[in-house]
Amino acid sequence: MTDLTLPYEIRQQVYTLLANLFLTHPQDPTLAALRDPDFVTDFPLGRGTPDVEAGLTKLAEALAHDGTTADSLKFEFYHLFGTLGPADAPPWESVYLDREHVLLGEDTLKVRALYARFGLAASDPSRQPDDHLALQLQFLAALAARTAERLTAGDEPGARALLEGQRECLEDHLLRWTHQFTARAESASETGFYGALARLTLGLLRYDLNEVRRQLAAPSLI
Amino acid sequence: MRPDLSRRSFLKWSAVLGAGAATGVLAGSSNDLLVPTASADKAAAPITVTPHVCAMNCGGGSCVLNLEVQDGVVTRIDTDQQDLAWSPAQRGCQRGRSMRQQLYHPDRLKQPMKRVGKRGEGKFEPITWDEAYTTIAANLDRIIKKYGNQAIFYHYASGVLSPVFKSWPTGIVNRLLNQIGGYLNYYGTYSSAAYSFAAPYILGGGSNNSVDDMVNSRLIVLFADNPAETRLGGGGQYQWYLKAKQAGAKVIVIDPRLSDTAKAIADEWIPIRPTTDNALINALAYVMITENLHDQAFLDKYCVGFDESHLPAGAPANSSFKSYVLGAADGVPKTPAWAESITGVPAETIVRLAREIAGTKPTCLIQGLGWQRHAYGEQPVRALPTLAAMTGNIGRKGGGNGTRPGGKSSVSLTGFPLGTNPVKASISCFQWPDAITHGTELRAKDGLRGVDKLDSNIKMIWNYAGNTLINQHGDINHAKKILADESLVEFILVHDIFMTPSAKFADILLPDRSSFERTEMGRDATSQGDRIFYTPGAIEPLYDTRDVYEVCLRLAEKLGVADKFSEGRTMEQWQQWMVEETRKKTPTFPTFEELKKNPIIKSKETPPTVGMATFIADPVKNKLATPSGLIEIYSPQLAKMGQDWGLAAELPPIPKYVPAWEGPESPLKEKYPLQLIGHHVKRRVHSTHDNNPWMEEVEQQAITLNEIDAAERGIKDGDMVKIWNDRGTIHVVCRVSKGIMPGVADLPQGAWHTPDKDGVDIRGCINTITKYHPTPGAKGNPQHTNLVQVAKL
Repeated sequence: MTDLTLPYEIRQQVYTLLANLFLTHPQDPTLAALRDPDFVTDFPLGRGTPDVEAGLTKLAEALAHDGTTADSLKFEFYHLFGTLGPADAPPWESVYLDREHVLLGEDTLKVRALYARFGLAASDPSRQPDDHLALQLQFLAALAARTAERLTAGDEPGARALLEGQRECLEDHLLRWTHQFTARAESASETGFYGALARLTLGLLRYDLNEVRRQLAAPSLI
Repeated sequence: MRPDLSRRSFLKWSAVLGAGAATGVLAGSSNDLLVPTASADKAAAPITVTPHVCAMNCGGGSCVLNLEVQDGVVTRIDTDQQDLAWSPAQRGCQRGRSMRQQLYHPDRLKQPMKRVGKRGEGKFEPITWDEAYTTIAANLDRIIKKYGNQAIFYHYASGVLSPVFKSWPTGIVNRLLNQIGGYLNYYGTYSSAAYSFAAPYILGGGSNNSVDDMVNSRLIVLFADNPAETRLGGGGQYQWYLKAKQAGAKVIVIDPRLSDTAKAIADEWIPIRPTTDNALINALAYVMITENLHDQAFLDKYCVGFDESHLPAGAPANSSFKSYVLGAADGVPKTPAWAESITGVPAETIVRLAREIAGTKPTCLIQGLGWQRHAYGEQPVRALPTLAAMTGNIGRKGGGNGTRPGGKSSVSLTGFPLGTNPVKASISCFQWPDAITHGTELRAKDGLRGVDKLDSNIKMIWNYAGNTLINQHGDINHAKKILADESLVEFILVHDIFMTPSAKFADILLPDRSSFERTEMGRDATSQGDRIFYTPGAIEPLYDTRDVYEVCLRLAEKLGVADKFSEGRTMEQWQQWMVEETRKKTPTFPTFEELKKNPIIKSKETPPTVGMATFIADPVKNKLATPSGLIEIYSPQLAKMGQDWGLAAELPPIPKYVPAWEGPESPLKEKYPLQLIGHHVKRRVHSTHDNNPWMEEVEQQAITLNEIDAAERGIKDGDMVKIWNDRGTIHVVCRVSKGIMPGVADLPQGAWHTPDKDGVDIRGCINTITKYHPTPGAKGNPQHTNLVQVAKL
């Protein structure tokens, strides 16, 4: 028997995890969880695809280094993602896609419009613009959770609309810039942790777009 | 969807993360930045146009920027297109129109932070605003109690420019400091130290013709002046230079570089070796005197010290300007041949130029601010007015007094009320390193004013919106060493919008708001059609930033002076107060309500003004503010100062050519044969916009060498080169050009100092190799005075 909602529950958790890791630097308990061998062994999404496997391997390697500590990752996080100011790997879409390469560009407004279509909005876009990687990942997590709900309720059109939203977020937004973001994170990540995390994320997004497209092409979801 | 694995396996994976769930690995709710919204189907927000002004310190043009705002986001910047005959459209230049790249730059400072590494290392941690306020207030309190208020220095800065939010010492910080006992002040600016020091000695504050009078000139000669790159926006002076050119004036530009001004409007470019302009002017005077082309009647009536028969009482024999020029005192006549050997300007050019200036009426002689960065900038600042007097152009329509182009006198806006600084001591803006290392030993001859001596060295620096702590100061490596020593300056506070080289030396670093996030308010009448503006923030402030008024108000609370500081007013109420106070003096000034409705109000037409006209009409009745009331080509005040300070040769009473310590006649030329200058480049306003990607496209940071010097060194256009002297080393790309004097190199000032692990600057910041050597009178910054060597990397 097919477990209808499992794939969406997996996505919800994986994207929430990634969103949190791109939003704040990890403390020791988080690092302990990520260092658990089962974290990689049982990693539940995108297995066998090159970027996901490379990302997981590099992540484990980075976490095995003595120099990878909560403290070193904190400063790496600050410098990569602009916590204090300069960002070696800016985590905002418009920095890559806007014609002026700035924050709060036209692409930010497009992301805002996409969220609004699903009744969602950034809580404080002046403080954290809508198109931050973590917000887009949270958006994917939220839509995955809702998809599982709709499928459980037998609402195929509702589930399809949510899948279409995920496709749009992946195809029209995340996958148009996260390869550049990943390249910058990889070149500027001293511990390798955030480079690996970016590579893993990119792999998952690529894998998932294929999955979502495949699903949308299927005659029936249920 | 394809199941990737079994539910059992997924639950196992989840359980691994579950161990960290309490601390947030999967704790979605506490990090949720996405919230439900009701606006699912709303139509796209309309685009509104919000008028604003450019708040950069290019010279105060305050050009108009029309911000297109959609859904709280500035999506495009347009500008003024209304050309009036008396007021060119206030068109923003390339810098103003790329302000979106500043506003929304990913590198903006986003939250308050404290230093956690060594000072200057750039290692910071975010903190709360309350921790920031507590730390700052505690340090202010401790340092004032231990060392006294003279230990607090409000640092020179010019990153923010409007009557309310202004980083010059007419701002909000100064009010707070005045209310807690005061602070060590500075005088002068990094832009105009020599000018503001020296010009009053000869002209006693006499003003120049307004810039729009240049259309009445037949000949305009620009010395060290380059508004086409520095002030090219519609709100700046350059538009009137263009109009003057169009009206038929002949324009001659004297500059080591073929500047954009020279390219655009000059009939003739006369290249000159940096720091030698005074020798050229002396030789022009020699030609005029020996050929009897000068206006003796004007000199006799209006001036002191031109010749022996008009020397002030007590001046020694042969001390007049004419005696100096003819060589009566030193046996060296200042002939064109003499000047050619110093300046590199051919003698025949000098003779021709002298005859042309003397023979063309009216002639407008203008000095730019390039001389401010010469070792002895105090000299040419007075020499050009001397030439203006010799040619009778002062007080004449289309002429002028040889200083900077003037503005029109109009009522000034009442500023934010500062109160009075109980500390009377001040030092030159450039001199703070001395006041840190041995402030208590400084005396009047060292530039200390207001007191005989200081009670303390500087122990705290407050740097609001400025980059002269490191980047724009002379000899960065020297400054760094002093600032890094925490036993000297014990606390450094910086506000900025970016992590500048100066911000890296902060102990507490506060994220400021940019101009579009706050009200800009003012009256700009310096050069253009008079304009009044009141432009509130166009968008919600970004990130966890605070404007300087709020910062100071919170600090005032911590320090127990909140009521005195705010007088119960919000910032907007202060702005209203300023308008009402202005209206008390000038009832025609618009009301606050009118300004809110119509945020940019242009003036009616007013005619150009002629500076010093009343003095020229009646010099007995309308005296200048010099001791004699006349134009003092010989200044007895400077004579006394030179004697008292033991600087008679460097600070003479008449404008003399004083060879620079790193000039064309310096023995150091054997080791470092090139004179290096750092012009003000059109891609930046000082160091602002260096991190603006569009501006990097406008003009890549590079050194320019003459093709002769480049060929001697095997350097081709586009090569990477090394520039060095005893103070530092820079690696930067080289442009090879005909448009610069041979023997001179140019590395535009303002690039952000970026040392590699060996301390080599890899961005091209000229101050890595400039000298900390205050000028003799103004104690100003001599940053065009450098000898260097250049080699291919």
